Amino acid sequence: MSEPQPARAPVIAIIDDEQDIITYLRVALEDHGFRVVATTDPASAPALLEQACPDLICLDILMPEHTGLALYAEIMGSPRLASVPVVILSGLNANDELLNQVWNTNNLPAPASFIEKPVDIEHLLRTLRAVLGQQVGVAP
Amino acid sequence: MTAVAWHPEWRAELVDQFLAGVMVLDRSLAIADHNRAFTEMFGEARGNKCYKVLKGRSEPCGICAAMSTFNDGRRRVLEQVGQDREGRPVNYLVQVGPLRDPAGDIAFTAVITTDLTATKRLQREYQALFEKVPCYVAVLNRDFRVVKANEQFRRTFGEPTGEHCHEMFKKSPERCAGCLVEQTFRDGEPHTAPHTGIACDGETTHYLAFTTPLLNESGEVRHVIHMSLDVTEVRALADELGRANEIRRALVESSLDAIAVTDEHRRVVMLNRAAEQLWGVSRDDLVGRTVPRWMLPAELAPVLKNEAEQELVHDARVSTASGVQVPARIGAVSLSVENRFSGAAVFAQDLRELKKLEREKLEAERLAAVGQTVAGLAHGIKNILTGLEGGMYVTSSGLKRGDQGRIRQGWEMLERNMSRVSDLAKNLLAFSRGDHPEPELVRPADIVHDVVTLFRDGAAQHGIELEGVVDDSVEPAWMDPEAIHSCLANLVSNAIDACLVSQDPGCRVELHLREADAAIIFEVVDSGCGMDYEVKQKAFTSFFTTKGKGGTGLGLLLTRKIVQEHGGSITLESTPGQGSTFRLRFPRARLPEPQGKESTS
Repeated sequence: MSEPQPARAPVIAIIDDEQDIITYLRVALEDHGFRVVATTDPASAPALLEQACPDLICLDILMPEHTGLALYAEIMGSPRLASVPVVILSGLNANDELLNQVWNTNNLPAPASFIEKPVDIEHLLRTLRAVLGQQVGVAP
Repeated sequence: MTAVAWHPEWRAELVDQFLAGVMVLDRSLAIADHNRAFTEMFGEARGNKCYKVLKGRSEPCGICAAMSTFNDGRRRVLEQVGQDREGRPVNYLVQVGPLRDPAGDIAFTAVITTDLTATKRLQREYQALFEKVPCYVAVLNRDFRVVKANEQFRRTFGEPTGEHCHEMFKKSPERCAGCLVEQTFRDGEPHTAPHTGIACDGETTHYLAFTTPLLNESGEVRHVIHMSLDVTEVRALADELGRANEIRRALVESSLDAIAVTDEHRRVVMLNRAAEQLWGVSRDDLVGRTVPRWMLPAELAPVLKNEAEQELVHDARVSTASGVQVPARIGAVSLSVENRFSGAAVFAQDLRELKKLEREKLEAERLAAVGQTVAGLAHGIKNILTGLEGGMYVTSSGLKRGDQGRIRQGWEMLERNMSRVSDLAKNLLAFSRGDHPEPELVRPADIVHDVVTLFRDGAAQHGIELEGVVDDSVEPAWMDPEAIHSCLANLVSNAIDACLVSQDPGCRVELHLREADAAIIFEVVDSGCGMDYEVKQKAFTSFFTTKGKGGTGLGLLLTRKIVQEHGGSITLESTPGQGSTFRLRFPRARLPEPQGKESTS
């Protein structure tokens, strides 16, 4: 059932405070030949990302305490992670004014893509492949 | 009666009858003789020099009338000032005439002195009166020329140099229409009329003029005295008063507030148009009558009876003439003139339109809250849907692979999210229950105490101190006690949660109650984790939760709905790491009306 594994499966990092989302996406992405690292704890996310060197990061931007936005800003500011594409997962509408304000007011580059919850797996897979396809030397 | 012949030697007796003083001087100016009147004026003086007696001098006067008459034999009349027997100054008229001996030589002179002191004093007094009287006084001749004018006239209209009166008073070449002076010359009667003139400095001067005739010896009117009182300032004050009155009348009449004024006997003195509309009466029917009992709420009666200074009833019901009850704000203030009670002013604001607008606004706010709820609902359901879809995917993936672990994992996801659907449904029911609050007259402090009691022990178990800070003087209010209880319970529960995730071990939650500006204010203050911009933005607007599976995101939304239904507002102040304050503010005037208390209009 699983697709043939390429020489090196792309590593996707998922950061979301809902364990159910992580479980869902982990199973779905692994079924489609990706490797997944994930955490529900945003505080431990930077260490995880530094260590795993993911090819792409899926990030929920509304999380308690250490918010997704702060984490996003941290990723953008890290020399090792800044070039890693980020796909935002959120219950917010992609056109939500608040969301656009977030990049503009914080002077951050916009994310590579945006996926609205509930997540349509086919759409997610297409988006991940498209974003990864733009990266040199990586093909799923 | 037998006729008696006149004896010339009786002349001495005759001279003693004179009211004027008579003395006889010899050539050395010694007084040879004098009559009784002279003694009364200057004392016994026979043998003394006249200048010593009349003037108190030791030498004869430089020009001596008696000596001149000795020399030329002519009669003389002149005014003199001397001193009387007490040394007081005295004015007298002196007539000097020669007394000749049988040879025709002037042996003596006769000097007749007439006391003028009283006349002179009177003259001075009249002159002073004429000059100093605070009126314009002028004497006019038959040519209408000013022949004499007093000080105030000269100061205001200038020094008269033969001008006509109209030239001086009005700077006009024409005689005035209805000239008073002319009338007085014609009929010899006094006349009076108000006039307006122009002073030397060009200022307009208003005066009230009187004319009165001055008769000569034969009873003809040769002159007219023209007296006028300056009323310029009085006129200015009257004009100003008139203008102020006109402004007051226009203000009162066009006021949107009903205004009525009563006198000290509670009779209606005045009623403006708004008052006629509010009470449904005509001022013609009411002015002059005692205020009808139905017109005013009982609270105002003491003010109308001078038993209270003022009274204001914010939420009154005012009866109209036809018995309709109108919601109004009504007040009365007692009026006094020179510290004496003179009646009262009553002012009332018809609140029908305002109440209607307020109801409409509340309704609009409710609809807006429902709209936001629906938008938020869709959003909240998305999260659960994702969980359900995920559960199905994981279960199905496990089935395909024969992976029991994965099947169990998927199944648990399905179970968990089904239970979230169930919670959501319960909350939605609570949210939609009772579109309108069911108000009861309750003490807000009681609700606060209940909530504090409910949570205190639970909070203490986590080392969180919960305290009620209550102003017990807050009066009872119409509120739905269950709804307000659930609002406060929800906020306190949130605050305790915020303390649980806070790093600070000595965390506190306070529930405050106070009243300010006729509004009841509840505050839930915590020293918990606080919120940042993103969270604050979303706090009230959707099914937003930061508690993961611990919350549905409905609590604050439900709280806001209840607050809005009570006409209140909810505000949030929060600083990350320092805590949050939720403030519920309920203006008393906007609280729901108890059932059956609605206006009949």
